[in-house]
Amino acid sequence: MFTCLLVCINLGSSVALNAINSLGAVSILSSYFITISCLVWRRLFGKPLPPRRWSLGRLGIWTNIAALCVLTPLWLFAFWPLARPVTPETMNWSSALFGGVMVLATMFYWAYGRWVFTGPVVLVKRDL
Amino acid sequence: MVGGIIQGLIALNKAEYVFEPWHATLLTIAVLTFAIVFNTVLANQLPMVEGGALVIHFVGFFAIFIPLWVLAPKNSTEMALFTFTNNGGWSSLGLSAMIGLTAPVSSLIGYDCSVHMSEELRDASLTMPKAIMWTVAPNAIFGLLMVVTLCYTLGDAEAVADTPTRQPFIQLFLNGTGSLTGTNVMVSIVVVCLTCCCISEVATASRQLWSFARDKGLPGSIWLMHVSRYTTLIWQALRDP
Repeated sequence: MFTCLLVCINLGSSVALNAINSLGAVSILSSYFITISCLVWRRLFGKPLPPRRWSLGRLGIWTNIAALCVLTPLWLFAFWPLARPVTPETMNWSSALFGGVMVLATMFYWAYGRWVFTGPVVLVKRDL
Repeated sequence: MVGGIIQGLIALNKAEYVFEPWHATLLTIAVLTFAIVFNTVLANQLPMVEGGALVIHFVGFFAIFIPLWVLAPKNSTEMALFTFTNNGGWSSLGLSAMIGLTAPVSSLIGYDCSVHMSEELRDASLTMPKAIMWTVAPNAIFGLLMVVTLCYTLGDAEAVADTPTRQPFIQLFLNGTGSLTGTNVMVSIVVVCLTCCCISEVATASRQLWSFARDKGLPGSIWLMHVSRYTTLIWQALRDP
C-alpha cells in the first residue's frame, strides 16, 4: 500500500520519484556500511564474534575491509546529480531525503524507540 | 521499472503512443497487486515461483545473449571497450565515470535480501551463506558477459539513447536483431524476470518489516507484527511492503 502511494508521486512530479528511487540505493549502501563496520570494529577491537558454522577464516577481516573500501566511493557518488548544469529538475534530491529520514528516525528512536526496542541478536539462541 | 518497460513495449509496437505519467503509475500498481496476490493467496506456491524464476532467468540470459551476438552488427573492439564519452558536463572523464557507477550499483546490491527469509529456512546458518555465494558468483559472470555484449552491439550511443520507447535497451534489441517480433519476445523475457523479482521483493521486504516491528522498532509496530491465526500470513506487513 505504501508502495502504491509512492508510485502515485509520479503523477505529480517525476523528479520526486527519481529521488526516492536513488534513495533506495543510498539506504541499502548505508546499511551495508553500518553492518560491515560493526564486524570490522569487533574483529579489531572488541570481544570475539558470536559462534558460526560457516566462516571465511583469516580472509574474513580482509573481505570486510575491501568491502568498506568499495562501498565508500559508491555511497558518496550515489548522491551526485547526473549532469551539469544542476537545476531543481536535474538535481538528485536523495541527499535531502536521506538526511530528512535520518533526522526523523533519530528523533523517533530518542523519543520512543530506545525504551521498547530489543535488538534481534539478544534474543537468538545459538544452536551449533 | 517494470511499468516503464511495459510502456516502452507499447511505444515500440504503436508508433503514435503518447507517454503519460499516470500510465506508468497504474502499470506499476498492477504489477504490485500481482506480486501481493502471489504472496498472500498463492503463498504456498512461492517456492515454485522462485524455482521457475531461476530457470527463466538462466534460460532467458542465453535467449538474449545468443541472438545479439549472432545477428547484431558489432562495433570494433577499440570503439566498444576503449571509447569513453562524457555527456554530463562534468569536469573530467574519471569523475563522470564515478558518478555513472550509480547505475551498475543496482546490480550489486540486494544480495542480502535473502537473509530476511532465513527465519523460514531449515538450517539457515549453513544454507544462507551458500545461497548468497551461489547467487553472487553466477550473477557476476552473467552480468559481465551481458555488459560486454551491450558494448559491442551498441552502435551509435546517442541515437540509441534518443529512442521513442524511452528505454535504450529496447532500441538496442531492435537495431541488433532487426526484427519487431524478436524484440518483443526478448523484452518480454526481461519483463517476466523483473516481475518475478517484484514478487521476491514483496516477500522479503514484508518479512523485514514484520521482524523489525516484532522488535518494536517502527511506529505502528503493534499493528504490523500481527500474524493471522488461520493462515500464518503477515497480512498487515504484506499490505505495506
